[in-house]
Amino acid sequence: MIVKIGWNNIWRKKGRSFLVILSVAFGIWVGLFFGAFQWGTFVQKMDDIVNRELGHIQIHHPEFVDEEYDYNFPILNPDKVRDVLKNDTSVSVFVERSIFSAMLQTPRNQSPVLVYGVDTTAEQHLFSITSMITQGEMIEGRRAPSLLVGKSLANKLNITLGSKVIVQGGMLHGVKSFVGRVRGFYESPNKMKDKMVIYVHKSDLDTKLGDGFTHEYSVLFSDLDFLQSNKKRIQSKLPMNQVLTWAEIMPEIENGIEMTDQVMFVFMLIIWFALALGIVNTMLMSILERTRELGMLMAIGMGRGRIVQMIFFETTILTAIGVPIGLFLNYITVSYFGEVGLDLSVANAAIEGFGYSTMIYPAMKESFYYQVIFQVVLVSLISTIFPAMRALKLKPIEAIHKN
Amino acid sequence: MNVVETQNLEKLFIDAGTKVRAVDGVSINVEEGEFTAIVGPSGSGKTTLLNMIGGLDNPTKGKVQVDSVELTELSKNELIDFRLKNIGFVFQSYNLIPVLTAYENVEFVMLLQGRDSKERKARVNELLVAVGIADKAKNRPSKLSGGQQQRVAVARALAPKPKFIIADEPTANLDSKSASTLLDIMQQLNEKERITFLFSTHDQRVIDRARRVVTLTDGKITEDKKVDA
Ligand SMILES: Nc1ncnc2c1ncn2[C@@H]1O[C@H](COP(=O)(O)OP(=O)(O)O)[C@@H](O)[C@H]1O
Ligand SMILES: [Mg+2]
Repeated sequence: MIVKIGWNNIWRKKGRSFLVILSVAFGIWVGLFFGAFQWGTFVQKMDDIVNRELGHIQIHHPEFVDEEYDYNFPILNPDKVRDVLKNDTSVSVFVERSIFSAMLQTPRNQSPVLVYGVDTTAEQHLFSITSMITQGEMIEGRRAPSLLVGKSLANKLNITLGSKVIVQGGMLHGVKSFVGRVRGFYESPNKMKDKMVIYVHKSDLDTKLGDGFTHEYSVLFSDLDFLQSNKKRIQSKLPMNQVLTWAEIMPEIENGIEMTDQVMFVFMLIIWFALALGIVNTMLMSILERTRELGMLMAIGMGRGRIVQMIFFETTILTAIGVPIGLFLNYITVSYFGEVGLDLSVANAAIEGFGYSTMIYPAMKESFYYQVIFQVVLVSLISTIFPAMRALKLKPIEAIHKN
Repeated sequence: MNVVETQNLEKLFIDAGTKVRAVDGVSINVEEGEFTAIVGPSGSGKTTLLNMIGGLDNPTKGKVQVDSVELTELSKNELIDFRLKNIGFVFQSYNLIPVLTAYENVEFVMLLQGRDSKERKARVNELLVAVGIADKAKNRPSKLSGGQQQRVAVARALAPKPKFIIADEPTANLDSKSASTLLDIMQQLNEKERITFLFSTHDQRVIDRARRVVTLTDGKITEDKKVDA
């Protein structure tokens, strides 16, 4: 019967109840969508940078990273590394790269670059270099090695397709250089990289520099969940080289994720506050309107516990209606934008500068549902405490005789 | 046996610095089965007296015993429980829960008491017939006239078979025909169920129906007479 009273009370003032339902739905929707947006951003960054370029872990000479990608610190005992990676069951793909830190010189200009010697066939599984090519191609085995240059670097240096350039790097034992021919332009989501990195076939680079060095192994695991234990295991098998996770190589990605977590928290705080305000307000109004009735109920013997129960029941119902509506709205928007994407390039030129893609595809993570629903339900129940206490303070006689 | 016993009951209101002794030393006994009217002009202290007897308000001084239980010694929660089990209330207005039907309103207190559904159903139907609302059992209060609402309220008060029923000016908002019907019903139930009624009024036609008339003037009993049927 208390259930029935509560239920019917809800429909007494439809507009007001609708407001509570809407704010719950809105809280769920905005909270989830924002979460999906954050997660989408994260997944995107992971995909752009980690899954398709860095790899989950990288292996280098222990001093290679500290010495700022110095060509003179190649992987030690690469055969052993190859062997370990081939036989490790958690590894899904790995590639070898050689990296030559050099100056790119045209007759008029020059610019510091990192020359990546890559095996385009092997890289297909990790880093689809060929898919980034906007013009030209990368042909292997030419006398002057084919170079793939970022479009923005090409613009800066006035390089056209077919231009000959000199690639020259300082070595411990003198200078090494070779002449290459720019045969393709690429564009990646990472604008900073486009200005820095040029690609060449590893075999071509080996021929020109004559060392046969490998500087980097980039590894993808089939499951990212065991990253730390995988890293430890591989490191222990390869004590001579250094194993780093993607987060250690590019801490800014992880920092970015942490920062967005904080933004998310502040954002949720605002949502909770708005929701709490809405519920306190409407429930309080609903109780004040029912002063006489509640007084009468108390007079004829309805205990405090039951009054509180009734009020909480009302909020619970409103919340229970609001939650699925919010889920539904979220489902629609996330599916839509997950497909179409949200273009942030206008709003956020800064992100682009950081080298991240500006198209965000919101994506849901299961834990968001629990988190956001739990939070919203908790907030709405907590906000009911105040109106319920207010109802308990009513004195039956005063309530009844109030005219 | 006395259902209600008060001794030197006193209620002092201090309102904006002025003291009002709304009830001033009232000692009154009400026996089981009585049909008693508390009468007096507006402001004479009827409501205040009934509230104290019904355990809705604390006396400033004096004692109230209902069925030999001293109400002033009960805690707030014990009082709520005591009211639920022993006292039926009919107020001047706002007696019914607007979102429940007449039937459900009558059933409500029995539900609070945890009576089983068979018992509830039998009792509610019996009472709705007794107050002449059986055909409107499914109506909500807003679909009932003022008189019909008060009849439902009487049925509601009676449903759990309380020790007695307190009705504070139950006819104040009714036209004389409805008031008369309500009084008929109250009288019948008083005789049939031996339920004690204690009601206040300042309406002469209602006073004429009572079998004991207690007159209050400025919070004091100035007359207490029994009327033979
Ligand atoms: N809550 C209150 N605060 C202050 N004075 C009150 C209060 N309730 C009643 N009174 C005063 O007590 C007196 C008796 O009131 P009441 O019992 O309502 O009389 P009646 O029911 O006979 O009209 C009146 O003078 C009234 O103004
Ligand atoms: Mg009165």
